[in-house]
Amino acid sequence: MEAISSFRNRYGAILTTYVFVGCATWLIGMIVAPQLLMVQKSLMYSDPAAAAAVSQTKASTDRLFVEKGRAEREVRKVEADIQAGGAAEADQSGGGVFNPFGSSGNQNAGASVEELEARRDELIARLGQIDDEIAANDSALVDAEKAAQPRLGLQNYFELFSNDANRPIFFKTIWSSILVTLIALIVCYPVAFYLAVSASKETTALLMLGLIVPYWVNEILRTFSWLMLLSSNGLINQALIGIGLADTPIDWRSGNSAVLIGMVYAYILFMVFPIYNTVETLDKNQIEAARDLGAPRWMIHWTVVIPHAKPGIAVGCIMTFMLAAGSYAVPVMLGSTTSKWFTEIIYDQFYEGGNWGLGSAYAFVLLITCILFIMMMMRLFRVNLQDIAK
Amino acid sequence: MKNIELDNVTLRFGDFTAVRNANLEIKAGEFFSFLGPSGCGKTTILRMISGFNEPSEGAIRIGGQDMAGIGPNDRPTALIFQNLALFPLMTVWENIAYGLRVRGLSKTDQRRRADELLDMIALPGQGDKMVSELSGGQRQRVAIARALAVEPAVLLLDEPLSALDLKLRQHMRAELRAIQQRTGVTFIYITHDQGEALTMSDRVAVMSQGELEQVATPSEIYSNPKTAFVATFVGENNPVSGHIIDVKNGHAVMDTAMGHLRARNDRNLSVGDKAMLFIRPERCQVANGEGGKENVVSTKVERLDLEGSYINLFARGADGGRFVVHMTNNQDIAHLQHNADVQIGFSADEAVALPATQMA
Ligand SMILES: Nc1ncnc2c1ncn2[C@@H]1O[C@H](COP(=O)(O)OP(=O)(O)O)[C@@H](O)[C@H]1O
Ligand SMILES: [Mg+2]
Repeated sequence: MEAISSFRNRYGAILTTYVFVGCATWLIGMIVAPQLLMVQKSLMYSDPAAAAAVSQTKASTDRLFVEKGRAEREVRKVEADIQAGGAAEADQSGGGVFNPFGSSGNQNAGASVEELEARRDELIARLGQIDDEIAANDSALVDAEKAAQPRLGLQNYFELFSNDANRPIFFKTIWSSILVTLIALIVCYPVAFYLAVSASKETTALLMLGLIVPYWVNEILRTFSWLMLLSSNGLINQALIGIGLADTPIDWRSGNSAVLIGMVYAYILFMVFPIYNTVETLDKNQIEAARDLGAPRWMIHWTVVIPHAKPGIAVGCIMTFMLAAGSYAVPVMLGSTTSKWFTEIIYDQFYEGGNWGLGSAYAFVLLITCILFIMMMMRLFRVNLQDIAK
Repeated sequence: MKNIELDNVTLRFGDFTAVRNANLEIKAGEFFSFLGPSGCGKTTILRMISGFNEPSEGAIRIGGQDMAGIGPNDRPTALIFQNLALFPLMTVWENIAYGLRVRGLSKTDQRRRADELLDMIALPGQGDKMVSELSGGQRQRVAIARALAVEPAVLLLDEPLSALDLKLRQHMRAELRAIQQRTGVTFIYITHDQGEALTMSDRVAVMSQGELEQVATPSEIYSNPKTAFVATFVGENNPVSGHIIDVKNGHAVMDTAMGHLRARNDRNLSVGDKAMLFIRPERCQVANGEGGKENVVSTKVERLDLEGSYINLFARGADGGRFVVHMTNNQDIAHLQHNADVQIGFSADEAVALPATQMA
């Protein structure tokens, strides 16, 4: 409260209201509420066997109702025939062409009144049976639905680790995202260093533009262009064959390589900029001082530039990792059925499996992993939030 | 011992010539200064000696060896940057030991050597502090220790005291001089502050617009300037312009707006040459009519400033030029009222006639 009033004294009531309402909306609407909702969903577990039993019972009831309707129609037909004193020779209008009881109007064709009466009694007996079965189903359904009711529990989380199809994809996604981060770091550090230290102002501006312009194109289109580049008769394969590095086209998409390449490309900017920004603030005399004291180039990077750029490197790694781990378009477009990404699994849970609880649990596990990764990076680079905020 | 030679060194940045035809030999163990106004090319010379810039023409030799193509990391020089460029993420001792770490010394050896150097720069036991915890003067000394740690033959200092306040600057002058004498390392020192250059150096090179104007000892620079630039940049000087009408016995007679004046002709000017005469304010006297000086000019008093132990007399000559006289504060000044006529005298031996080139 004191903070608010001092803020108000400094900036006036309108700005204060705006800032605090804005912050509250942001905090609650963007962070707390969705996460809580997701956590809540993820903790609701419904037994898949019970759910299967429910749908089975429902299906069986549906079938019984269909059968009942047909039987009732046939009973009416047979009674009409009895009234008429016997069935017509080739009556097509009987119980229909297709009869589940194996007794069609054709079968009754030309039947005597006695035969028709026997058939009617048989049908009426069956109708009674059907009613009993429906009643049994209804009571079973109540129990099954009770069993299938979502319950609070961690089963959704355990499910991921006992699911032999999804668990490897989860670990692969994490590992591949780390790989993407590493490759992006290796690719981007020299670029960022060059831009910040060696390049002239004009070159820097030009290269920056070159880095940014591709981002004006929609991510789907950008990824699609990589799909074309990496296709079996795409530019890259043609070039590789042309210069003799490959005999036959390389199938980039069957493994993870296309996805990795696409992601490194997609997120390069998020690695270059934070590193560039920190290296930019390095006093260039420090580089020269190290050199003057005899340090070879790698050592200047290791002892002077990288320590200074650590916050930027950490931010770049965190952003790239999060974007890679949470990427959907790139793996969908550049991956194949054998190289699924964990986000695709989550998507399937929500939109195809209809299992929101499981989907939420998967999503939450991914979120926690990302947070752990952030903390690990901050520990590894010995930077804290303040450094990163700089 | 390693002398440093600049042999016709020129450096151009595109069309702009930052250093032109510098010829110079700096002796091993010398405290040598480059003095000149900002932008005259001092840093550029230092960067060429340390290897960050290659001369466009000419050669730089250290200990007789041509330095062409040898990078800063392989030269026996150590540069102290204008802003020191200490490593802020390292402790004081890690800063000092950086050059040793680069050379692969063990951590204990690094630490031992750093501690020795800390003792030498009078900061014992401060090795574990961060650089940011030190004062300006202490950082200055750490930068020196870091450079000395690699035992360079030559220490290059780029205006190292310019960021310090006046008192500290004066203290550090003495300190630097002492360190130089203790280590025997050649110091090449850059400054735009003539006081620093004159008090600390064995020899001074005065620079202007990329050219070496004069290389000499401080007293030589002060009393026998070779160019109009040096005469006016180093210390104060009263200039009088004119042309030579007579030369003999190492003296020249100049025709000026203030009459005929005699001065030393160190540069062997000949009759008819345009020239400038320079006379230092403390070598002028207010002539009381009794004569005795070879040169007497008539001026009108403009202002008197009492400085304490001496008095500055500002007067205006017949040519409109200003004349300054430093008078010791033991003279009768009652007659020196505003606009009063005053005769100023000086001897020919203390004035010098120089070619009329650019003044500072
Ligand atoms: N890398 C460079 N490119 C172009 N001009 C430069 C460069 N470095 C210095 N100069 C110019 O050279 C001149 C001398 O600079 P410098 O040696 O730094 O002067 P100072 O005597 O003040 O140390 C200045 O006019 C400066 O603008
Ligand atoms: Mg400079």
